[in-house]
Amino acid sequence: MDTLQDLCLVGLSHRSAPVAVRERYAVQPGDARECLEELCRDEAILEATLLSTCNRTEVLVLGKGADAAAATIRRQLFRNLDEQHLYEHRGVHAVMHLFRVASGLDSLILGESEILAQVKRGLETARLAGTLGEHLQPMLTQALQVGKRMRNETEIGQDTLSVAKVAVDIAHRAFGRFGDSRGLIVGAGETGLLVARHLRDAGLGGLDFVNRTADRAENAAAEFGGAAFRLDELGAAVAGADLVVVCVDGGAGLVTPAHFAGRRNRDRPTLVVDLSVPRAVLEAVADLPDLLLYNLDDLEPVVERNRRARGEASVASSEILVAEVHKFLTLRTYAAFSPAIADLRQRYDEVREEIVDEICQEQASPRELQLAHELSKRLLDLSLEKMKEGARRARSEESLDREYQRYLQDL
Amino acid sequence: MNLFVQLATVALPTAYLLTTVLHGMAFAGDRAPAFAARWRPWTLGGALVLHGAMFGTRWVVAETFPVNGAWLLVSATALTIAALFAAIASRTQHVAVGGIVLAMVTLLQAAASALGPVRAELLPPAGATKILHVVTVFLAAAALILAGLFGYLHLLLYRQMRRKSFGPLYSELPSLEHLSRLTRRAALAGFLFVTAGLNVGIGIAHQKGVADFRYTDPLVLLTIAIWIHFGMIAFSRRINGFNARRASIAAVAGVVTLLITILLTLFPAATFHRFG
Repeated sequence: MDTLQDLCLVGLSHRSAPVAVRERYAVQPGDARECLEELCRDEAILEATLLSTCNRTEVLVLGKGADAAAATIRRQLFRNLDEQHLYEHRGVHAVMHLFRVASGLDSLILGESEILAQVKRGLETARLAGTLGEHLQPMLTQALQVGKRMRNETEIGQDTLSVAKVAVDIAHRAFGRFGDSRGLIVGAGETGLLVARHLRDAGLGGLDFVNRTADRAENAAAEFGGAAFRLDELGAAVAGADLVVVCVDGGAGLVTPAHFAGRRNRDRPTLVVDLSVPRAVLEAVADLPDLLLYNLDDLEPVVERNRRARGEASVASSEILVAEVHKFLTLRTYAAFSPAIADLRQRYDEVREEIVDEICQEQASPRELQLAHELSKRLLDLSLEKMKEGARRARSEESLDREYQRYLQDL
Repeated sequence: MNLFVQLATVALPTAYLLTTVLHGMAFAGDRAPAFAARWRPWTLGGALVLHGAMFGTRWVVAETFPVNGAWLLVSATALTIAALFAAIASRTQHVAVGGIVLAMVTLLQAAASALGPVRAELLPPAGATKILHVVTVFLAAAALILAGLFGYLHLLLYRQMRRKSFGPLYSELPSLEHLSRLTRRAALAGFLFVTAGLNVGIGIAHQKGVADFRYTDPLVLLTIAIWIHFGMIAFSRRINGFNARRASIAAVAGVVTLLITILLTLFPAATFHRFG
């Protein structure tokens, strides 16, 4: 596949940049489509997709030359960003990276499940923006399949190690049993509801919701049996909460120390977990007494421990990943052969007709015609099988495995 | 029999040290050697049995209640703390706490073995009120020391969590909530025992007309201060602004005061209180 060399992925993630940098370069969901359209207006870019989550902002493109494409991405999305915070993958490494991301192998929390939905959303946005074509579309579709397979066939997704779960674990360390604790979710979006489910499953006593749009907060409160607050009532809502989980989009500095002023005469500390990018809780909140504040970067050590614990699952996942990359490349090679195969089929048909006409002089019996058809079909299948075999051997799984080890070393 | 008392007195600090180390290994989490988990209950049980047998033998030799001096009181306190910890650990499975609680036990027993009487001897018969006084005092001391230790662990874990450090203390200690509950329960038990011990002690002083007893004695004042202090900790949930963290700080401060009081009791300068 010659286009593989023109494939380029540039981005930053929790591996390369702290949350303060990540939040500056995060692309809000509402801006993603426009961002992609702008990117594809540059003649160096043919196809593009963008993934922006709380832990990463990455752009995958097919360009007219990877150098020009990478330069365009850097200029348009990561202007003025220190090179040390960026990473770039090209060719087969870009495919490996995408599959790893979709599998949750590159996530802050190994095997987390939210990433699959985020990749899917990225695919939808790019489709709506019209920036997907015959190369990136199948790659993203297969990335989603790889993510699902990884979770079904390895232990990576078991005992869901999502960000939400880790937040719940920290709350357990603070409050022990949850029965008499009250939680507050700020932001009743997808992540907020996921956290709420985890907290409810963990046995939290009660859950309230704060949201910009009152309707969403009320719906969530009705589902979880708590109270709904408007954003301007945040201070009152915080006063009664032991655990505050903040997961809002584009709400930088939304939660300030003033919101905690009503938190008096509390026996236990208030635990605040900020899962937003950009961070929605001001750093000054951490200085308040009897308050424990965590943001996504702070969760890294817990994640690292989980990652170590999942070492064996990771080995199994590497095998699946290499096999899936091999499958993808083979399918791409078949796809590249498609015009040639169609041409070959047509040529076989023409030659067969010529021979039948020449030998039978247009008086061939149905049996003779059937024989000629069957013969040409068998010969064509034999040729195609040899071609496929050649395509499969073009990149063996062993060579891809070595390539994958090189990719891992470069991380 | 005296030989056994002497051997037990010498062996006890080592026995407690061994079980402390094995409990402390729990902080290594999954990397802790398997033998540590296997031997923990046996070493702790063995130390408790040896300690109990040492006091039993002393009782037989003394022909009366054997705790008749400050260092034997310290030893009895160590035994009580270890026994209480064993009871708590069997219910909560938080064995790593033993690495710290049993270290205190080891320290107390090492001091008692080094500085206290090694031989058991015949003692004058002790009255029921005196036995009640001594028993309530060492039970109170054990409960208050435990309150201080749990308070210390609470502060330690809180500090780790505030620093966002997810190390062994974070993984192996009970939750902040659990530690504050243990602190307050131990403080309540200590408060009740101090109440009993103080009242019985004052009763004995009045009954026997202890010549140099007076309420303004620094030792009596310190004891009363500790009593009020731990009473406040025990009921701190009902006091505005006296939250779990402040209760833990107060418990640690209370234990430091308690240890100073015990040390003062041992000095010849101590006025009215004579053991024996």
